[in-house]
Amino acid sequence: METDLPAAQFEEFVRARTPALMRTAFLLTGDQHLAEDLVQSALARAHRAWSRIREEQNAEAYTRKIMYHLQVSWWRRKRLKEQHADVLPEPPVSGDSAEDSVRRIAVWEALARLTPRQRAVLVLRFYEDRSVAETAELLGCSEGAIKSQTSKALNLLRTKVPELRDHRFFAEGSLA
Amino acid sequence: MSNPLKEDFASFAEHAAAPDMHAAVLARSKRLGVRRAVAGAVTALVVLFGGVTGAFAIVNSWPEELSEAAAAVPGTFYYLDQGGEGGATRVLSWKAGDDEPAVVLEGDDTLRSTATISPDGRNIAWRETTGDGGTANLKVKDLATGVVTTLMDEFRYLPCAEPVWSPDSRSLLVGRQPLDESVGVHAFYVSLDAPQEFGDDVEIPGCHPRFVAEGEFAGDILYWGNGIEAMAPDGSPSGLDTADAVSTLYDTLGRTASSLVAISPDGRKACLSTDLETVDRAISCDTIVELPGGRVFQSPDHFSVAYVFAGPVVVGRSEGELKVMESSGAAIGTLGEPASLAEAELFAYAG
Repeated sequence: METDLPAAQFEEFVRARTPALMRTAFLLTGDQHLAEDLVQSALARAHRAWSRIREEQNAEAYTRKIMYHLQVSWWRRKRLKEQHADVLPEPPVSGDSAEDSVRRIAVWEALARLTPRQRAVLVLRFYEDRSVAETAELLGCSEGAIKSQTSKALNLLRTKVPELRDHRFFAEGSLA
Repeated sequence: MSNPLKEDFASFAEHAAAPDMHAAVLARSKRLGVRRAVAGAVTALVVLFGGVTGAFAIVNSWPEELSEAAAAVPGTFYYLDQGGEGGATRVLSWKAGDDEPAVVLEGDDTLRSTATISPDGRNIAWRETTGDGGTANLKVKDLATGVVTTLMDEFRYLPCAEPVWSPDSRSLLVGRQPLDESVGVHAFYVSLDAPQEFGDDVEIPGCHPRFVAEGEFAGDILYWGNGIEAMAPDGSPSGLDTADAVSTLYDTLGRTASSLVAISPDGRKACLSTDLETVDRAISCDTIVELPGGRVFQSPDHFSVAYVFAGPVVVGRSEGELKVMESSGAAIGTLGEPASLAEAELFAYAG
């Protein structure tokens, strides 16, 4: 029987990259179910464009870009519904010490207060190690906007998690 | 330097489960394909029909009917200019035929996200941030007399529900954080006639509320949720069907909407900022969709076009020109702006 090569390649891509995409989506949404929905939405669009993107060897980059755009543009209602319910997803916290765990709970709760765009900026900059220029390109906005969003988001984290203020990385100006 | 945030992110990410979603992705892709095919066919028919009847117009050629264009927009256009140092921001006004714009208000960059002109063009309101605690004053300036009034002191504002004027220009709907620390979208009315008094509370399940000013849906509120949504003043669902507007935009142009910026006076057109935008919170919009149905009414093919609703007409701005069109999309004419407005952003029309 003949194998449908593009279909097989797409299936292999989905199976291989879902864990990494889910990790990022989980950080973007803060919720397992929302993350699954986000990844599925992005992969469905990648599937529609598969014949083009597989040849350009950029399937993951394409999927990630779609994912970021969907997150900052479309998910407000779900986020708002979460907020209206006044139920934050359980903090997925583990740490080497009780001190670590307490701080991470505070960070998790502070992240939930950020806008989707601010949260996406932090994930791209500090989880995926993207540059300001790359982050701007991925989110479709200016580098100035990224710097401004980064600053606002980190200020909020400093406010909500005082322990972070003492860390050199979070000192004012260290990210300029 | 170690980055504790990176370590925290990595720790959180470990908790993301990765189920097998191949089958679900294929099913969703199929649904997406059907939606796009249907929307594409409908759009093609609309374009074809519109082209025949002249009712549909993404206008390609513009008559130089200066007098007609100026007569169609007798009110005032408002711009934001952030050319100053340290975020200093000015609100400028300009009328067709004037040689230069006038300075209406000067302040910090908060003006950029909160300045709003009353529909009658008599007042400008804005939020003035006070300290770091998320509190602000609500200010209003009478544009004729220059008198500034503080409508509210030190209220805990809600960033996504900036002040918006009611259609009668006598009160503002303002988002605020509830005092009980719960998170949600709450708004309240503040009347020009009763400064420092909270008016009626309105619960809006979304951001960026905008009023329908006239017609069948007058008084209804459109807002941004997971797309464009609408509610009647009593909180019940509006009769205005907004369900397909944003999905049609995505399906026809492949473009995601990021915010609701403006609506036409009758509520039947919505202007959205989309992923064409290069700013983090748009004050101007780049794509107009029709409600109901979501037909794309105006959409630029490059980044620099912004639109405002000017009473019954629609004005698009690109490269120093204002293109004035009827609500059908038919061209009325073109107005040239002063060069001094080149770096400013058009955000409103009133009067």
